[in-house]
Amino acid sequence: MIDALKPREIPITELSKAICSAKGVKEVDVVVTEVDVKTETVKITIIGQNIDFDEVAKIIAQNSVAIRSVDQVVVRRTRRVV
Amino acid sequence: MKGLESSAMSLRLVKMKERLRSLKRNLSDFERMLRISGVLEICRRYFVMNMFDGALAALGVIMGMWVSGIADSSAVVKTTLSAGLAMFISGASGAYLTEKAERERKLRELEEAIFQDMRGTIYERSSRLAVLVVSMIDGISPLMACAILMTPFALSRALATDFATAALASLLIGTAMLGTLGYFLSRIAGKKPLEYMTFMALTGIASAIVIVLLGLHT
Repeated sequence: MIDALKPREIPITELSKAICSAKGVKEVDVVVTEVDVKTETVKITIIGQNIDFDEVAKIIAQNSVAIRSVDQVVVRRTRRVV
Repeated sequence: MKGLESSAMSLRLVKMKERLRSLKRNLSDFERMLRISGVLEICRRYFVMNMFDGALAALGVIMGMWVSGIADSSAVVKTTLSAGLAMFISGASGAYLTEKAERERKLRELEEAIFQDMRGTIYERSSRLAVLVVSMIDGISPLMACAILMTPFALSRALATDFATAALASLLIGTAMLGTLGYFLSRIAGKKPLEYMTFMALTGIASAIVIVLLGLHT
């Protein structure tokens, strides 16, 4: 779960679609939690396996969104079936 | 041999598909940037405003030459096109500088609000695109109006029409153009077209009448 700040002109629909194109991402949930004159605070929840966080961060930055903090991470160790 | 040809053909097809896909992606990026920058609304406004300016200026030049007794079609073509070009340069450069200054200020303010360098992001690229699009629309619209209104004079030799007929045709085209702009505005406002169309067309006719009266009394 990422806490981020974005310009109001960037629609969350397009932001979520862009994040969804990153490797390993299965689901993206973006919620606007605070609205300011020029900016909006958003909570981005990304679900998937082996998510490439650097790629996600790059996509988020390219979309003019600043990551303020990473608030929650869920990691599961999976057993490889032989 | 045939197998080689078919594999070369399929390679070409794959390359073509890739090119088409990249073109589609670029177009959707372009559309997205236009949407983010909010430039379409600004362009709409500038287009009507400057085309109106261009049409009235061209009508002014044409009517002014007519009442001054300069019945020379090629002089009208040169003068109207020169006026259009001057309006293109002044409109494009003026809009470029003002829009650039505004967008840069907005970008700086946003960078301060977000605490992030915006260079290379979609917001910054949208701003740069907006500056170019707005300046082009601002320049081209009056030039387009001038070029359309001088057409009857440019064709007068080929069609063997006299100066008065060309001037009348130009006046009619100008009035129709202003009426169309009025219709366009009424669609934006969601109002009945008659009011906007009449107002715009009357402005053109009124300016023509004023110029003719001025010519008669000087």
